[in-house]
Amino acid sequence: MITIDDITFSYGNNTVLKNISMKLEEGKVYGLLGENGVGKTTLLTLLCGLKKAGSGRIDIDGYDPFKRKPSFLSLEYFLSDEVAAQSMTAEAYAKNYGKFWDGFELEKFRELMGIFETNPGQKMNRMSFGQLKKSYISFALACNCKYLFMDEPTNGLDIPSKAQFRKAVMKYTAEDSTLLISTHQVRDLENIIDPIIILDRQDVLLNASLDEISEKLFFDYSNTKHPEALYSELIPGGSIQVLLNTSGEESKVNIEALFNTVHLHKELVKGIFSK
Amino acid sequence: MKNRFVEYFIYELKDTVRNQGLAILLTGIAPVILFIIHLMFSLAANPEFITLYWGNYSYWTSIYATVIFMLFFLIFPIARYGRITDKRKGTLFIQLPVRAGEKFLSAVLVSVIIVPCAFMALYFASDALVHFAFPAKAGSCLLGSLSGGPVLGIESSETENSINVTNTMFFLLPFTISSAGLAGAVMFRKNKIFMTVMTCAALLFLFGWLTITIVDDVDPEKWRAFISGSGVQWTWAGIQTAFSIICLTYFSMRLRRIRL
Repeated sequence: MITIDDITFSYGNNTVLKNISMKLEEGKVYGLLGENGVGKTTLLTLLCGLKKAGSGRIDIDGYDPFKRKPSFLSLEYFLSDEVAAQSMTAEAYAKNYGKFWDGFELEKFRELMGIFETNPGQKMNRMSFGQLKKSYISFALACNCKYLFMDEPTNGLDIPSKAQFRKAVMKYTAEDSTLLISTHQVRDLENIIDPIIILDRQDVLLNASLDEISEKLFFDYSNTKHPEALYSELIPGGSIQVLLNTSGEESKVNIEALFNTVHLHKELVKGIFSK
Repeated sequence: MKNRFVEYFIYELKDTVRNQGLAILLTGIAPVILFIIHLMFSLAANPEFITLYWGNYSYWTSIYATVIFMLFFLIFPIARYGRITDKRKGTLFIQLPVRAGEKFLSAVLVSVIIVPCAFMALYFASDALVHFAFPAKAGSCLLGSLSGGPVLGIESSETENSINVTNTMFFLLPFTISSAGLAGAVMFRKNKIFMTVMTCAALLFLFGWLTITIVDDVDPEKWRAFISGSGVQWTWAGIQTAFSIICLTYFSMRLRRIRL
């Protein structure tokens, strides 16, 4: 269980996160959404202990991440958006570093590299950015960590690789593992992220599961015009409108439309979901 | 169950060999390379001056060795551990499930003790090889020159009030300079080598200025008594040790508290 309690973080005079509180439960794949500069990456780096919050408390299974105890570090893995090209093969990298994580499985790493159609025998500094990213994703998943934090994992991946990424996450993540994936590419992850967290400048606008969202908001894909819609957008072959769900009818959540709705009606949405 | 520190330390050694091994080897065989360069230049020299040309060779090897040793001891820890402050490479280093104290100890063992010793052994061996192969041209080797002086001491002259700190460097200076290099590796985010060299130069200047100021105020008789005794040796060794401890303490603290 991850508990974030009233944390604040600033870069000099620029406060990025202010009084942020939330709880992340085990066994879920959280999607962390937000505009540029709202502090998504900062939040991830705070959770994995690369930064220290200015105030407030982060508790992950009783650990303070910034203390960086080995027993905590072996529980988590942070996959940064920027990855380093090592002067060794991906397999050598996995062998060298993987042994420090208790749950690391080399065979699983090889399988994942197979899914991503990437040669583990290739030197990492001769790989394309996408191949490098896939090697690191394979390594991250092969570590079998309880907590996996990923910053824009699908950036730089080609179209087939995005589907492979979804497959890999679904197949190779343990049931009790918690993933927190920060992304702007919501369509790449639409079918795997649940719950959704939407960060705003110095605020959490939404932290809810898809069931809760669909219980409170209705996503209408018909061509019938609803003047009371919170958000509407023309899409190929029709439109999508987001309304308050007064009838209790279920609908498929469109994350992009949800994100735009939340940003247009911040206080309203916060009010609805805080009840 | 494997010992985590041992496993990490072995990994660090292997990684050092993989990433910096070639650079250590090439710098370690610098006496051979420099001899070849010297030899090539000698082919262009006037035959009348060839004896004079090679007569100064031993003097030049000492100068080369001093410069190369200083730069190597200072730059190696930065090349090896400067990545810690880099967002991409540092993330990997910090995330490794190993205690910060173990990472510190391993870094000190690798960059302050093992690599400097290995480098010096390689350098002295290749220098000896050159002098053994070409005794007529190369004269006496570095180790031979060193063996004539005190092993750990400062040669002092009572009449001139001067101190010659020749051989002490070969025992404490690698440790001191490498410690400064380690501190520089985590102190600066950019231009680490330049900034570390400049900081060391500034500290050395400050130290020299302070020493001169203190010596000026000391009674000449007391000063003569001080430099003629063993106290000056231990003072100089103590200053270097204290400086190393400060640098390593800083490195250790930064390692624990670094934020990326």
